[in-house]
Amino acid sequence: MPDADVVIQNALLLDRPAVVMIGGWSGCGIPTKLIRILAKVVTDHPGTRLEVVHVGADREIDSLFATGRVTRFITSFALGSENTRHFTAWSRSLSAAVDLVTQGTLAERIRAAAFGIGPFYLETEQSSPFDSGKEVRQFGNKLFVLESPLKGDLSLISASAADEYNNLHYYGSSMNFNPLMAAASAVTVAEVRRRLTSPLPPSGVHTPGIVISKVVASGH
Amino acid sequence: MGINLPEGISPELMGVRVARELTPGQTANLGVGIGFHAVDFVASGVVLHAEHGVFGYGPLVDNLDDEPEAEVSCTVFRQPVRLAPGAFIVDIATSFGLLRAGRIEVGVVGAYELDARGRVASWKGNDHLFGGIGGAVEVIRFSKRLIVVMHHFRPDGKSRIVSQTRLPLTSSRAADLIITDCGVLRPTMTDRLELLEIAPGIDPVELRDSTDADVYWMTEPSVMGY
Repeated sequence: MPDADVVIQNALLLDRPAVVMIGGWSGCGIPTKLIRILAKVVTDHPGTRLEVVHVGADREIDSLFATGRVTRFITSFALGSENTRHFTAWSRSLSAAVDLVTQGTLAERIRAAAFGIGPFYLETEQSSPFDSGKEVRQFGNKLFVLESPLKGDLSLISASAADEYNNLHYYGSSMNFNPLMAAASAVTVAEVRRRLTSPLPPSGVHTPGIVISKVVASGH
Repeated sequence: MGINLPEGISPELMGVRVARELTPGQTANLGVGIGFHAVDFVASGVVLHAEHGVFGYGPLVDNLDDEPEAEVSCTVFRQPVRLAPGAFIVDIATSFGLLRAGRIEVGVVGAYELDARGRVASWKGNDHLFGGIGGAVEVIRFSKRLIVVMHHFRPDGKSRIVSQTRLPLTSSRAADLIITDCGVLRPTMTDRLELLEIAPGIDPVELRDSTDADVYWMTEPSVMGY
């Protein structure tokens, strides 16, 4: 099994921008080491283009927006802060594109891609600005909008523990997007705090190893 | 602060007032803004929901336990919190799924602006460098009861409660209760807001006249209690 940087690099070898999903939520369960590796890989390969999927403009992913490789950000919170200078500068450039998706919809689109679900309907309301361009349909006395699954080419996720079968377990608030993104991409690399020497109990497996391409230990 | 009006109550006291609306056994989402201050004041037995998948958090702690992987604490909006007995963690799809299915009884959200019908403008829209919406739409649409907690005025003194918002409405669902630093209001069947409570030291008549939407009362507003 090649090193993480090679796995990542190979996943980005496409003739179109690569959809890269990054797990975590506002400091919880964000794969910071893998983000560093990704930033270096794309910096070293000028031809790469990324469409980044992450819950918001978190400071932990800010460095990606300095690489010059991000063409699109698919997110629920595209607002910069004093901790996201690079994102703020990127968002002002003419080539920056953002898909603003409400967070529940973002989660469900990723889940649909992960588990083989095609386009699906979510409840909405009349004239929602978040529905523009999408089919809206009435079922009974409620209005629904047709959403499409959001599939990735590469997912970078964080977990608390992995066993030798790449089965993963998440502690506390670090779970959030990670199990969904783990299963929604062709290639998934997981950064874990602990590598267990004996298997996780079967009922304690949050993410099955069969969706994980590679595990790396967190830290430097 | 509204023209000529004295200071309203602090965000912490607004959090105390929010906490008074929550009863044991209810599951409530406090959001990330002023409403989050309620975390230290809710009665035991109120289950606090954080959108990233934590149910049963609170109170805040100074730092995480020595064992950061112990499931007695986690972070909510980058702040360490203790988890109450009975707390549980789910992934983000399950978190929003439970919300969408009506399992969150009370949602507390902030607002940049509020209109006369109690509808909220809580994002700056796509004109403002793309904007941030987070989970606000789902909380507003699907919470059984919606409480808006917000400053009554902008820093320049203009009313945030207006007959028509400049910013786009987040949803057409109206708040059930509005808690500001100057008072507590509720929407009515008409395009008027009823002032139920007034912050200490503020004259309800001056507040009514400084608010850019119709405000009235049936009985004299009581002083905001906490």
